[in-house]
Amino acid sequence: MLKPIVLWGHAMGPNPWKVVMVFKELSLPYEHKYLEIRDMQTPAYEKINPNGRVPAIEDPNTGINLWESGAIIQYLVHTYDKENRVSYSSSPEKFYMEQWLYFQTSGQGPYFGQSAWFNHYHPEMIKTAQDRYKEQVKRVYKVLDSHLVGRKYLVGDKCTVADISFITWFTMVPWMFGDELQALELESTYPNWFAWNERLMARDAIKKTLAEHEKADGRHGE
Amino acid sequence: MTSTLTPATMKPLVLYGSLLGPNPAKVGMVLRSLGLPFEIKEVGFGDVKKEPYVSVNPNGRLPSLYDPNSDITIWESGAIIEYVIETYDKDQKISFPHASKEDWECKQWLYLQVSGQGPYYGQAWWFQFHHPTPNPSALERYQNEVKRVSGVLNKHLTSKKFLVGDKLTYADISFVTWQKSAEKMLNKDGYEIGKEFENVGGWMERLRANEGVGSVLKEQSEGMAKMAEASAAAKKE
Repeated sequence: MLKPIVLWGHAMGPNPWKVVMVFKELSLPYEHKYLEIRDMQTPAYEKINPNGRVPAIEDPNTGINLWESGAIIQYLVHTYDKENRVSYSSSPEKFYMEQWLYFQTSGQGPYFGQSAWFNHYHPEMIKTAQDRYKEQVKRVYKVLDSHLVGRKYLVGDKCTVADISFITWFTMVPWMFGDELQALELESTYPNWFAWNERLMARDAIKKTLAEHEKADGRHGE
Repeated sequence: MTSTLTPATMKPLVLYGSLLGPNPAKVGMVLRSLGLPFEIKEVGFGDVKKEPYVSVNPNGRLPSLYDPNSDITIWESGAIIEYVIETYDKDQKISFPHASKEDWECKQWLYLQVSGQGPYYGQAWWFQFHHPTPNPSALERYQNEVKRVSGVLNKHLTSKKFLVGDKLTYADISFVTWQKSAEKMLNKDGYEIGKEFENVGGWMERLRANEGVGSVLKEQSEGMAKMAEASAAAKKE
């Protein structure tokens, strides 16, 4: 019987929920500990993640503690997805899976994040910065859309953590763009992306995670 | 098949991108550290988002790596590095045994480099040198982040020579090129980032002394000098 893996997370932030999706896909027991941003800067949390960010995991089954969602996801599938339910462990698909994970963590997350920052949090409104990151966001949709022509999933012929890792930031886009969302015309401009996203959102583990996210987010700030 | 390949017997890898760019250079450093043969295929700025390169990398960015020994093409410097290490660093010259505790830590730091150092230092670079209109508050945001990340590295490197275990790994190497860019961006008017963050300064010196790292940095300096000369000559005409 596996002991629950501890996940340090945040009610709203998209990255920890990526890990929850993988936990659920692999039916892994976990304990979700929610932090506020200010908690992440404390000496106690710095011991867990010197970068002061979430997610981080502590796995009592192996004694391994990790931060950075990409590394965590690679660790989880290597350790617990022996049946390759949502992963590949053989070449070349395994390397393609890692490639898309690296694209998600370095090319989607940070750019969507800057878009969110300049749209919602930056102390002054800088239109040129907002436009820059909006273009970067659109570019990510375009890259995925063009790769998904004639494909159901990013790697091979099944859903893997490569696909799953992109979902949470896409769910943030309506909030990121507010009234400007309509003008992006996501479904018609990126039809392959759209079909793929719908396919992923229909998965049981994904639906359950998003429901949990919504519930936690609703209590956020209490 | 690949386990019998040695640097002497393997076909050279193909690295798309110039060693003047921080991300291709990162990969170059890992390849050089392992003594792996490779050739460089430069892709011009105006060509990255077009065919034939987008068939190599639909994301239209550099680097990408083609391995003729396995017929595999990988893009994303982090994924390239993991592929190269897993395929060609069987002796653990710059890595730890696959899926060991230290190996996971190396991947963790590599993910920090690609997602927390590169993109943020890159935005600082953008707002300092490329954004069409000056934006002091945006620039400040990213310069603060450069210092914050340097601080994280600095604290972790207290009484440590390298990021993981006691050995120079690909995790350390991966941070060099962007940390060097930080020096370019911030070292002026008497300020030196390597002095504010002394452990990072010492670590960079240690890494520069590594042949694989040092040779790429040398080529970068020479390449930059040539470009500066050419641009000065063009201005005269």
